[in-house]
Amino acid sequence: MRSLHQTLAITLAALLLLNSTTSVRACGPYFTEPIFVFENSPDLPFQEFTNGKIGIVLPTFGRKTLVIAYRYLNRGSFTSDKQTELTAALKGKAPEDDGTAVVKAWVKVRKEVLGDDQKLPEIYTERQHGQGYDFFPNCTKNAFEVATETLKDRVTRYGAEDKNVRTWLATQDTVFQNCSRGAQVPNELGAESAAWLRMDREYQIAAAHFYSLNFDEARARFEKIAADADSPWQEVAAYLVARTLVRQASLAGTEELQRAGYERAETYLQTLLGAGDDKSREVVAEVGPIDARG
Amino acid sequence: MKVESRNRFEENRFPSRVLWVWERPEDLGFVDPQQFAVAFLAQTLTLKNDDVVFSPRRQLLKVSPEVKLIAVTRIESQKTTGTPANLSEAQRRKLVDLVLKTLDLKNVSAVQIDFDAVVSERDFYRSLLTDLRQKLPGNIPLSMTALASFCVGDRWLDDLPVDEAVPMIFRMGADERKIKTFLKNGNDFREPLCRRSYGISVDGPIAMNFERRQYIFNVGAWTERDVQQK
Repeated sequence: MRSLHQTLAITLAALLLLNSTTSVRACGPYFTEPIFVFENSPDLPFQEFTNGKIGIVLPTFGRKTLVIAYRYLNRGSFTSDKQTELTAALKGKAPEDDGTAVVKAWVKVRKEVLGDDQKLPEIYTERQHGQGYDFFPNCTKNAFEVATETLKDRVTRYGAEDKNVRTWLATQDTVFQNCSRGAQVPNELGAESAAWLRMDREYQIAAAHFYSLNFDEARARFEKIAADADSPWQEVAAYLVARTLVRQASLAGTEELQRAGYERAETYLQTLLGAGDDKSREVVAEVGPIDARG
Repeated sequence: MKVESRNRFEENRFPSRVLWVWERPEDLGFVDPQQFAVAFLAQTLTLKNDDVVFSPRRQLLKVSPEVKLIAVTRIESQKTTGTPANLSEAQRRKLVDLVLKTLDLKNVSAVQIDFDAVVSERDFYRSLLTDLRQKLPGNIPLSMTALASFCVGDRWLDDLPVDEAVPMIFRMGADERKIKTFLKNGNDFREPLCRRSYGISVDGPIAMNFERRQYIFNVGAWTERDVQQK
């Protein structure tokens, strides 16, 4: 009987000891905390926000969210279809990054080709507006995405050690120097150069003019590329003609010039839309900013 | 005996009143350059991990070329969970470079740093200001804004290489009552650098008898009427 008691006591003590051991977590501790305000996005559901109930707009919201709020604060609105699309867009990625991720991605792929010993060029994406005190985003996210993808593609096709690829990369560095200041335009290439490099160079020259704010020259060059059936940039060049018109209008010195510029851009975009090709559908997205000016 | 540090604002004969101009379109063509200088927000630099995110001014500023301009750099450290600022050497160097670039803006003749540094950021801030002072041209004034509590509490501002620390006597949050009582009782800021200027807001001025340079903040865009009332 005594032995039974001893056995029970030992078993009970063992169970108590085992139960008192807390489970181990890999990370932590975690605490449940109340969230009173979303700092990076509007309140849920997003549909209410895109419908115009924008509530209190915080500067920490993502770019898409702020654009929607800006439209409503300027007494604008969105059609029902656009509201649905915007809600989907907000759900896609919120909050948005601050734009540095694409520049980092470009710097990374550039470094993979050139190695660590190359001094990295300083890239600022904003450019001073004339001689004033305000800046505007000159080289946008898409510019770095396209450059990154193009470099990867050229490296895959011709190899990282290929001298033309190196030339391409050095030229792209020159193009991006114009993002924040200056007007550095790469030289044209002669017929002795590889055809792919020549066509890429034409596009890089047009882009350099665009970022240097030489819009008339940029537009003429994009138009020429848009007419070149052999260029891999043909399709996108037509769209960039529109981008050039929009940018030129947005930076015009007077409201009158701006209005005239936007009208010209709108006419061009409508023509592109009428053409009905694949790229035109993408251009539809660009009509938004022109609507937004009113 | 402590030698009083230089005051380049006095040396350069800056007007005794300065309009603070924040991130909104401003047309200050009416400002009298003899009466007022303008301190405008030129850029916001956000410390995030080991990055410095550069956000320049996006809004138009029109001002007569005769007006003395102070380019203000607002520094913020991102405190989102999981991504605290590293406060690294690289960040300090980049901050210094970007602040120096504001001197390239037309007619800028002084710089001001606006950084509400918490205690753990003070050493970083001190080394930033020291580095900046060394790289600025010798005659360019370097100003910093200061929470009013910096000027009455501990002496961490002491010996900072700045020409002035501007105590902001408005929207003081939790310190409001304490600072107001402190000043109402005839006290003055303990920190000498805080006794060269002070900042007030048009919507909540505190009657001050200081014969010092006065910075004036406006919650809205400046109008000629606002300025005439100052």
